[in-house]
Amino acid sequence: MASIMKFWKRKKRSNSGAAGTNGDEDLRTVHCNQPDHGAFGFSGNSVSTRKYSWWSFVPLALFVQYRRAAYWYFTAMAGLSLAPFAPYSPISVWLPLIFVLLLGLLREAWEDVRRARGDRELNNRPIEVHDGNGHFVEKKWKDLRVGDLVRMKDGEYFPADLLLISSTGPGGMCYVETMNLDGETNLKVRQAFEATWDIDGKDESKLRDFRAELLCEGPNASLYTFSGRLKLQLPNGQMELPLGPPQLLLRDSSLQNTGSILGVVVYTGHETKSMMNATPPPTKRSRVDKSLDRVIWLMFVLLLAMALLSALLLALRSKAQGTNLWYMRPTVSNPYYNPNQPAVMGIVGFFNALVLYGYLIPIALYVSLEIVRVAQALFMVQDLGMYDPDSDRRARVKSPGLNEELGQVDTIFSDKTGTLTRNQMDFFRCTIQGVAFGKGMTEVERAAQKLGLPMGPSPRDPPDSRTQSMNLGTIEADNPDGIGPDNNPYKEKGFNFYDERLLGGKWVEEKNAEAIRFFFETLALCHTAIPEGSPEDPSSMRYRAESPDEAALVVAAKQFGFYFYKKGPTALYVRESLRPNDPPKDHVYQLLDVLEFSSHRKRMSVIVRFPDGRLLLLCKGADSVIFQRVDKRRSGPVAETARHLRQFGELGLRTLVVAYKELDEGEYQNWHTRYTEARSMIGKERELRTEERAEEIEQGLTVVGGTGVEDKLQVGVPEAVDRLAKAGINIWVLTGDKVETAINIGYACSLIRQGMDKLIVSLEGAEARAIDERAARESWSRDKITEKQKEFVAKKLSDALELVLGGHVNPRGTSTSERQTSFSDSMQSALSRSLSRGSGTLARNLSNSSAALGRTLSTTSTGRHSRNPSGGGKTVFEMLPLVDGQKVGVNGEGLDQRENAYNRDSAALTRSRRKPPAEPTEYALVIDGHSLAYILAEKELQERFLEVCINCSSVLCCRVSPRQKAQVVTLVRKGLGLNRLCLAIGDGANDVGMIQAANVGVGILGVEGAQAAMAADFAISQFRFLERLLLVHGRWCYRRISLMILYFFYKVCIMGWISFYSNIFAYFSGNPLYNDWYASFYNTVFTALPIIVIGVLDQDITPAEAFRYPQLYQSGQRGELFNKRLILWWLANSLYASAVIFFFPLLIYSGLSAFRPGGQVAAAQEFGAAMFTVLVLVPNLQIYSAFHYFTWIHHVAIWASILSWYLFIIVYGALPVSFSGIAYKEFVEVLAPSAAYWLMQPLVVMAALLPDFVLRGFKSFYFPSDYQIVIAKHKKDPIPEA
Amino acid sequence: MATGGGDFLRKLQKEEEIQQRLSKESRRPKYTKFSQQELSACKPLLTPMCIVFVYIAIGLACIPVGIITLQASLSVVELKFRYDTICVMKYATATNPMLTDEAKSEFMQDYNKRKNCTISIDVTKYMKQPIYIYYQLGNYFQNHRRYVKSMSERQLQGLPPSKVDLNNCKPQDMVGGRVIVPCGMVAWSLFNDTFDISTNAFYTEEGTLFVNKTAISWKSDREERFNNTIFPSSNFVNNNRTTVVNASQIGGSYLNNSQPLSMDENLIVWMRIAALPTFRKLYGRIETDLHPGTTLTFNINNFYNTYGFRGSKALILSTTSWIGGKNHFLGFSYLIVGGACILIGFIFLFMHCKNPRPLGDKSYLSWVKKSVATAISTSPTTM
Repeated sequence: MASIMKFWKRKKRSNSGAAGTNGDEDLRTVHCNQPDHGAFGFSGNSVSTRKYSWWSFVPLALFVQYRRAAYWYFTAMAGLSLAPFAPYSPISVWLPLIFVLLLGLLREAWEDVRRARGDRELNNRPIEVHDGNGHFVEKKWKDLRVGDLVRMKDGEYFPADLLLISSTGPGGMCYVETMNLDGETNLKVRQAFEATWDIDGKDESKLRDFRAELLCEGPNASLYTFSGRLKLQLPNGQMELPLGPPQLLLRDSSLQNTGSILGVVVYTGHETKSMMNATPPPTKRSRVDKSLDRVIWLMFVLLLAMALLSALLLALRSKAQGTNLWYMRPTVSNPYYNPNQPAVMGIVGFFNALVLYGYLIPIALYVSLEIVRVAQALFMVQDLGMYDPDSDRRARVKSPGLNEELGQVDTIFSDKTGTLTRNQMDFFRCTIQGVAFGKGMTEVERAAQKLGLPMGPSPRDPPDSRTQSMNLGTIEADNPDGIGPDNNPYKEKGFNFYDERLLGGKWVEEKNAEAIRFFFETLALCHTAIPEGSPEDPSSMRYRAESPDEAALVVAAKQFGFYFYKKGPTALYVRESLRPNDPPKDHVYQLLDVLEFSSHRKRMSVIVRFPDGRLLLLCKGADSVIFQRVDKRRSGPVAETARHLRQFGELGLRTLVVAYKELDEGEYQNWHTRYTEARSMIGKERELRTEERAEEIEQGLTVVGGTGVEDKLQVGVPEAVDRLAKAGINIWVLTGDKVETAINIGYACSLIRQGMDKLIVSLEGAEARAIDERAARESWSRDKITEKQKEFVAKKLSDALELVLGGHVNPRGTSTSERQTSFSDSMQSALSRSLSRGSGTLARNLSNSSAALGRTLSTTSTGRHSRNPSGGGKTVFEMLPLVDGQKVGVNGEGLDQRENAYNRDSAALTRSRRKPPAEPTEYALVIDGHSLAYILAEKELQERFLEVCINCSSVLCCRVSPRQKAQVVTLVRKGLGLNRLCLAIGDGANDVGMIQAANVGVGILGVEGAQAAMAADFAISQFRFLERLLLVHGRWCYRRISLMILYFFYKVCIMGWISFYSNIFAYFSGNPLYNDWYASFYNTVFTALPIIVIGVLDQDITPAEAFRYPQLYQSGQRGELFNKRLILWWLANSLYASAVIFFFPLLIYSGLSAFRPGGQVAAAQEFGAAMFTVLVLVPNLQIYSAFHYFTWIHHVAIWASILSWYLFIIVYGALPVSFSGIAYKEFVEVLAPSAAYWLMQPLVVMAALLPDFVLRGFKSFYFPSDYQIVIAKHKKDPIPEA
Repeated sequence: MATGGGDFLRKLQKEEEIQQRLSKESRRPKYTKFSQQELSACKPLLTPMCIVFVYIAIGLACIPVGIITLQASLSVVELKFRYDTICVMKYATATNPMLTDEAKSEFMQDYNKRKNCTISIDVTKYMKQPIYIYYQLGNYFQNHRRYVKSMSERQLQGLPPSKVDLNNCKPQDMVGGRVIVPCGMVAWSLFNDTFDISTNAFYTEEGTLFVNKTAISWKSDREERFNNTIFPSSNFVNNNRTTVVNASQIGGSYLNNSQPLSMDENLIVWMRIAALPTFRKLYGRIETDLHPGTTLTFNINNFYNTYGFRGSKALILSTTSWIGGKNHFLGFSYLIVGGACILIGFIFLFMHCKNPRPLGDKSYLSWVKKSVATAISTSPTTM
C-alpha cells in the first residue's frame, strides 16, 4: 500500500520534473536569481509528509488496516452475520470488528494530524529572499522557488538544497552540520567559488546584476554527490565553473560558525536530497509472527473442514428425514429450510457454521499482541539497567514487533569501532624513522593479562617483556616522580602517549630530531580537521574531524609543539613552540589540494607549500596501500615501520603510515590542471577520474613513520561477550581493521579464548603474499592472480573445514590426531613450497609466515593435546622444530622467542594434562575482506564458508567494507535457513546496511552520530546493555509472547470446539446452545485481561539468574517455547478441556432429570449459562497450572475476569425483561439456588485441568526445563542483584 | 498493525525526549518496583512432596462430596413408562398391523380413530411428596435453528412482534390477516397429550389423584416474561379439537383464548427450548406420598404424533433430593476425580521414594548433561 502511494507520488514527481529538464531527464537548468515562478514546472518548496488528505483518509486508512489478511476474514464473517440464517446476532459480531478498526483509524488520524502540523510549521518558516531589486524580503519556506537567491544566518536550517554563492566566512567558506542527514556531528566545510565571493548582499547593484545559468543533474537521492556547471554572466563575458558537493548546501542541515551566506535554490520540496532519501526502513516481521500466520492458516483450514463437515451432515440428514419433522412445517418452509433442496441447506449451513466456529480465528489476538508489545517496549525503555548515566540516554525501541526476536538470537554481527570499543581515540604509540616510541599497556594487553592469556599472536616476545613489548631497551621503567604511562601529566582527550624521550619538548635532543620534527609537522598538516575554540587557549581547543583518529593525531601534533589553530580556505595556521620557554612562532602553510579519504582509497593526502617554499605531498594511510606506493630508491624505514606497525596492531592499536613526497613545481602544475579538469566533470565519471589523478601523484612516497592510536574497549565488553558466548550465541566481528588488530581485540573482549583454535584465512598473510610476489616475478595476468588467490582461499577453507569437522565429529572413524597431522602436513608442505621459492625479498615475509604458522600449530596442538595427550599430538610436537629449523636457516632472528613459545606451550600442555577440559575444542575463524570477496562471489565457496562458520564459536571478518558487512549478514541469514536468527549491532553509518539486513538490528547511540540508531530496531548506548537486552528482556519477551500466543489459541480453540459440539446436538442446524452475548464477551471480557498481564509481566528467572546462567538463553534459540510440539500439546489440551467443559454440564443439565429440588429440568438456556460458567473458569484457572509467576496483578486479573462473568449474568439478568429476554433473572432464580451448579464448578475445573497438571508435574520432576532447575536451586538463596 | 505500534512508540519516545531536553532534566528512568519489573511475586514451585500433598488432599476432599452427592441421587425414586408404542399398537388390527412408522403416523392423523389408552405403573418404593410428573420426548429437535427462531419474544412480553420475528414465525405468523398470538412453530407444536391418574390406594377419594399443574414454570417466566394481559388470539385453529372436525392431524395444541399467556404454564415450559433432542418437561406435581404396592393408572389421550420422525414418548414420576432428580453422574465423577487424585498422589510418592531427585540439581541442566555426554562419548578415544 505504502509502496503504491510512493510509486504514485514518484510518478507525479517525475512528471513535474520532466518539464524542467529540457527534455533530458538527468539534467536541469536553473536560472539563478530569476525565480521560475512555475514557468519551468519545478515543484514548489512546500513539503507534505502526510499520508492522507481529508477526503482520502477513510478509504486509504482503512486500506492500510486491511493489509492484514485476518481482517478480511473478520469482515467476511461480520458480513455473513447479516444474513438471515446467521447463528449470532449481527451486532455481537460487528461490535468487536468496528472497535478494532476504529482503534486503527484513530491512530492513523492522530499520526497524520501530527505530521500535518509538523509540515505546516516547516512550510511557514521565514526565509530572506532577494526580491530582484537588491533588497531582501521575508517569505515563507513554501513560497520559495527554484532559482531564488536567499540569505541564511548562522544556526539556521537550509529550506531547500542551495548552491553556495558567497559567505561572510574567510575565502567564501562556511561550515555546515549534517546531523539530521547522516548523524555525523562534525562540521563540514562548504566553499563558494572565488568568482562569486563579491556578491555578498552589501552591494545592491551586484545583487541585481547577478545572472548565472546553472546546469546540473536532476534530483536524486545521493547525499554525497553533486555535479554541475555554473555559467556565470560577467560584464566582460561568460565564465564557466565546475560545481561539486562542496558548493551544495542540503536541506535539513544547518549553517554553523559562519555569519551568513547567500545561496541559490537548486532543488525544492520533495526534490531535495534529504526528502528523496526519506525511505522507510524495510519492514521486518518476527519469526514468531510468521509462525503465527501459519497457525492462523492451519486454524482456517480446520475451520473450513469443520464447516464443510457440518454442512454435509446437515444436508444429508435433512434430505433423509427432514420432511418427517412435521413440527417445523418442512413443506411450507422458507427458502433456507427446505429438505427437498439439500444443496441449498448445505450451502447455508456451511456459511452458518463458518460464523458459528469463527472463534477459532481470534480478532482479539492482534489487538492484545500489539498492546503487549508496546508495554514490553516501555519496560525496556524504562529499564535502569539499560540507562547510561554518562550520556544520559535510555534504550530506545523502534520495532516492538521484533521484541521476541531478541530472545532467540544465535548469531551476533558486531561492528568493532564504536561498538565494542568507545571510538574515543587516543594517540598511544608512534614510530619515527624506525624507532618506536611510547610506553604503557593497552587495554588489550591488560585484558589478556587479566584473563591469564598469553598475548595471542606475539609468541616472538618473551613473556616477561610483555609490558614493554616494544623493545624499548633504552628506557628505564620507573621514574622517581611516579610519572609514567599510568600517571601521565600530558594526558588529554585524544592523547594518552607517554615517553619521556619525546614529551615536554625533550624530543629536540633526540639524535634524529629533524625527522621527528617533520613527523609531527606532517601530523599537524595532513588532515581535514577544523579547529573549534579560541586559538589562544591550546588546552580548550577541540577539533572537528572526519574521524576521531584524525583528531587524535592533530592533538598529538599540538602536544609536540605544532599547534594547529586556524584553518583558512587555502591556508593552515600552525603555532610552533618546540621548547616550553621558546616564544611561539606562527607559520602559515599554503594548502593547495586535499585528496580526500575514502574507504576505497584507504589514504588521504594534502599538497602543501611550506613557509620555506618547499612543495610537499603529505600522505597518511593504511600500511598496505602506502607501502605499495613507496619510492624504490628512497623508501624510508619501511621494514622497521612495518614491523612496528604490526606490533602496534597486535596491541590492538589502529595504525597509519605517514609518508611524504617532494613535488617538482612544474610537475605539480601540470598535474593540478588535469586534476581540476577531472573535478569539474559531471556524474560518475568525475569520481573515477579524480581518483585516477590522485593515484598518479600519490606515487614514489617516502615513509617517515607510523602512528598507533588506541581505541579503548567499552566498559564491560569482555564480560558481556563472554556471557553472550556462553549463552550459545556465535559472535562475529566485522571490522575494517587489519587482521592482527582484530585478533587482539578478539582476545581482549574474550571472543577468542584460551584453548580456542584460530583458523586464519587471509590474503594479506605471508602465504598469500607469496602469490603476489610470484605474480610480480612472473608477471601474471590479472585474471591469473585472481584465479590463484581464489584457489588459495578455497584451499584454506577446505583445510579449515576438515579441521573443524574433525574436532567435533569423527565421521570416518579416523582419530582426531591423524586428522591433525594431515592438516599439519598440508601446512608444512605449503610452507616448504613457499620456502623453495624463497628469495631475498621473501625472507622478511617468510619469518612472519612461519611465525603465524607456528602460532596456529602451537595453539592447535595445545587444544588437541588437552583431549588427546598421547599419540598423534606428539607428532605435531616433534614436527615443530623442523619447521623452525628451516625458518632459522632463512632468517636467524627470533629463535629464542620461538623456544620461549615452546616452553610456554609445553607448560600449557602439562597443565591441561592435569585437568581435562569439560568442553570440546572451540574454533575461531579469522577472515579478511579480500578473501571474503572471493567467497561471496561463488556459491560453492559460500557453502563451504558457512559450514566452517557453523562450527566456529567466533568469526572475525577484517578489512570488510560496509557493503560486505551487509552481504555477509544476508549470506548467513539466507544460507543457514530459518532456524538462524541474526542480530547486527553497530554504531556508524557504515553499519546501516548490516543492521537492515539482519533479522534484528541494534544501533549504538555513540559518538559517530545517530544514523545506525535511526535505522535500527532497537537502540542502546553501550554494548554491554546488549547483554541485558538479550538475556533478560529478549528472553522474557520471547517467553511472554510465546506463552501468550499458545494460551490464546488454547482458549479460543476451547470456544471453537464447544460451538462444534453444540452444533452436533442441534442437528448441525447452526444453533448455539449458549447466548450470543456470552459468546461475544468471551474473548473480549471474560478471558481478556489475564493474558495481557501475562504477556506484559510474566517472568521465569530473575535478571541476576539470567546473568549467572547465560546458557538458559539457549532455550530461545532452540525455539523451546513456541514450536509445533507445543502448539499440538495446547491444541490437545484445548480439545480435552473443551470436552470436559461441554459434556460435564451436559450430563448434569441433560434435561433428563431435575437439577434442583424444585423439580425443574434444564433447558438450553440453563445448560448454556452453566456451561459458560465453567468455560470462563477453566481457561482463567489454567493460568495457575501453566504459568509460574504471579504478582498481585496476576491474581487481580484472573479473579476479576472470573468475577466479571458472574457480574455480567447478574446484571444482564437484572435488566428489564425486554432486554434480557430468556436470560432474565437467569442467575438469581435459576442457577444460584441450585446445589448442583456450585458442585459442578470445582468438579469441572479439576477434571479439565488435572491431566495437564499431572503431566506438568511429572515433567518438572523427571525432565525439568533448565529454568525450572535454576528457580528451584535459587528459591532458598536468591542471587543478589548485581 | 505491528509497524503501527512501532510508529506509535517512536512518537511517544521522541516526544518524551524532546520534553526532557527542554526541561533539562536527566532522562534517568524513575525507579519503581513496577517499572523495573521487580514486583514481589509468588513463584509456586512444585516440589514432589508438595504435589503429593496437594493431590492426596484434593482426593480426600472429593471423595466425601462424591459419596454425599451420590447418596442424594440414589435416594431419588424414579418411575418411567414409555407409552407411545403401546398406546398405538393397542389399535392394531389384522388389516392395519401398524408395523411401519408411516402406518402409525397415518393412524394418528385419522380424526375418526380413538387414541386414548390406559397404562398402569406400580410404585415399588416409598415416594415422598412432592412427586413430579414429566413427559419425555425422544429424537425431537427443539434446538433446531429453524424451530428455535420461530417465535417472538416481544410478543410474549405483550409487545407487537417485529417484522423479523413475524418472518421467522412463518408459516404460523398470520391467519386471515391477523397476527397469531403467540406466533411461530414453537407454540404451534405444543405437546398436547393429557394424563389422568387414578389409583387403587385406599387413602384417596374416588380413587383419583390430584395433579397440581401450577407453579411448574420459572417464577420470573410466568410473572414477568409471559405477559398476563396477552391472550391467545386466532391461534392454530386447525388444532382446535372442539370446533374443527379434523383437528390435530399431526400434532400441536390449541390455546384457550380466555386464559392469558402467563397462566398457560404448559406453554411456558414448552417454550423453554431443550438443549438436547431427548428431553423431559415438567407436567405436574402429585402432592401426596405414595407407598409401595400402590398402582397408578394413567388414562392417556395419545394425541401427539411422534411416530413420523421415530420419536418416543414416556411418562416419568420422580421425587427429588437436595441435588435434584436421579442423576448419579455428579456423585460418580467426584468419586472418580477424587480416586484419581489419590492414585496419582501415591504414584508420585512411590516414584519419589524410589528415585528421588534433589530440587535444583545442576546435573540436570541441559548444557551440563550435554558436556557430560560428550565427555563420555569422547573418552574411548582418549584411551
